[in-house]
Amino acid sequence: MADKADREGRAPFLRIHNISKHFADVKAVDDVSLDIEQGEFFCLLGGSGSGKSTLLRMIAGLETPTSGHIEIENQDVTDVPPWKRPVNMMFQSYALFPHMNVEKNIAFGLKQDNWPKPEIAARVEELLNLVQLNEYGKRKPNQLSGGQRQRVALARALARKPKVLLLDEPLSALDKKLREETQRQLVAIQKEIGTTFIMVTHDQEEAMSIATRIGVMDQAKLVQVEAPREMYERPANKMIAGFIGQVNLFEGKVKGTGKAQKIISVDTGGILETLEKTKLEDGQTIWVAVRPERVLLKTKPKGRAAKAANKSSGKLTDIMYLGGITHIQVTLDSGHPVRITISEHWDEDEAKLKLGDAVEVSFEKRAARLLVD
Amino acid sequence: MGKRHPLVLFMAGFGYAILYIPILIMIIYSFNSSKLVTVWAGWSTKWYGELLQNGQLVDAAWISLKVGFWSATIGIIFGTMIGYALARFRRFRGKLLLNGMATAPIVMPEVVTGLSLLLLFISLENLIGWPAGRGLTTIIIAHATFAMAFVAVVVQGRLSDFDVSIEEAAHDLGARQPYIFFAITLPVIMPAIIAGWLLAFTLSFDDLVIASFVSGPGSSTLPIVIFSKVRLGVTPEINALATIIVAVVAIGVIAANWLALKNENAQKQNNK
Repeated sequence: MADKADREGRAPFLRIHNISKHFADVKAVDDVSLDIEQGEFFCLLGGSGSGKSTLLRMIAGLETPTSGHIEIENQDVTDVPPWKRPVNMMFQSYALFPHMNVEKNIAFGLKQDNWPKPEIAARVEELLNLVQLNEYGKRKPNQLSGGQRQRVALARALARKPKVLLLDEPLSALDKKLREETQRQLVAIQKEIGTTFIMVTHDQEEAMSIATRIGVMDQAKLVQVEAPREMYERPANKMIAGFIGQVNLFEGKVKGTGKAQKIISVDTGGILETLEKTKLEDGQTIWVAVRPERVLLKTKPKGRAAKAANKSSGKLTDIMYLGGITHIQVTLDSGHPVRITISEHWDEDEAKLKLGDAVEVSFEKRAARLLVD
Repeated sequence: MGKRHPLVLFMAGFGYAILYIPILIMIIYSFNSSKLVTVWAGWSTKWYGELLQNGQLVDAAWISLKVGFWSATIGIIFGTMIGYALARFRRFRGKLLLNGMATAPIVMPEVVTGLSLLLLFISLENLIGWPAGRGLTTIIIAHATFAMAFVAVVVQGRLSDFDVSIEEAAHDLGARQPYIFFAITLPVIMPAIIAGWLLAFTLSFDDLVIASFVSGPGSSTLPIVIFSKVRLGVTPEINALATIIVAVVAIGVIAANWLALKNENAQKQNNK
């Protein structure tokens, strides 16, 4: 642990500095810089081919960066071979040694480091305890269930007490129920040992529920780094808004300048208002993003059409009742669909709504996020 | 599964009958007590006993076993090396050619292989005086060359569905090549190598053509001896011997297949 004097003005625990990786003429990772602090549970989130796994493999040393460098605790490790790095990796396929039993799998790294035998035995015991597999030490990997294998892989990767543990889609092979349980275990274990975890995943819900911070990658670039809540509330662009949770996007055109500036919805012609004070230019195209659970739904008042800002009318075209929550789709008079999520305790008025009903949808200014790309 | 259609049964029965009736007849006649091969005179195992008394055949069998053992052993060492290299090479121009060159000895006419090896041995003897004459050594080398090709194919096939991240994990956990190869890769592909050994042994044990090119006096393998004996007429003894060979080969092939199957199942389980 770093003492206080050391902490002042020191470099971050793990620093990724302008790193790029090119395979032939394909840019897998393009100029990524990222600082990660000691004890974080960091998630690299992105679709397939976004470069997240390549970035992870470069931290592990399994890929050599084309340019840039990586520092761990102020030490440049860019050219340190993987077997010497204070970093271990848990592989997507678990990569357990099929001819060795659980204990031998876990002890493998310790043997390479020439630990004395009694200490290896003690450490293996400790790790089996940590992942709750005490009874399974003598089993071979093919005699274990998927979840158990996953835990062996975790124990093996933690055995050498790495400063950073890298996890490459560690839960993707598990079924949904087991995955949620394992997510909780993973977080609990990470808290208990305090090691910095960096996990790669394509599952945004997984990243949201586990991570202290999320880094979203898209097309070889790191697009946004933020804590889950901030990421959800303030997505940097349309891609992230749609990737992290569901979102309604309303395209708008900026009209006028200064105090008189307005945003006109391209679909409905109505006015869109947000609380954000981004400087916009006359004629610029922007998007207003609103989460489905922030959209308000009302029976359409008879007679006059809605004219206020952030308000529009339409028809209820789909209701999907899921128990705790209900997903509703409203098609605006302009034809633009709006997704609305309502939790169980909706008010009387909403409960009476049926398919085909004329409704009024609106959202508050503070629920809207302005996006410029 | 419902009942199988009679046509399927007929096709299977007919096909297998054509394959195995000759062998079955030979096996039955090996238990014939008559001295005349084609006349049935009741059951007996006396020809098996006679066989053991026949020094020439026993010697030849011993030579064949030795040749099979050593050529298969040399074959798995070099074959594994080729198979590993081919599986680990990244794609590059000429990889297909290298691949083809590794497997060519399998489809090369044996006469060509035998002749080329004979020429090699003769010129080597003229140049450096080794191998001195043709004998056990030359047969072993000759058989090892095609054994290598078979093992390379089997090993490469096994490595193509080998999860490379297992090697990466070992590397990540502090191990280095060549330790990783011996501690991780080799044990995992061992069943394929053993299957390759059994296959190579069986092929060596069977081979007549290549062996007759490169064998010398005093190094006649079993197929060579049988072939030369049969030209003077088939004796019941030969039937007995051939039956034993069928048994040895069958055991080898079945064991190789069983190993491959077991390995495949274990692999499937690991990927589940």
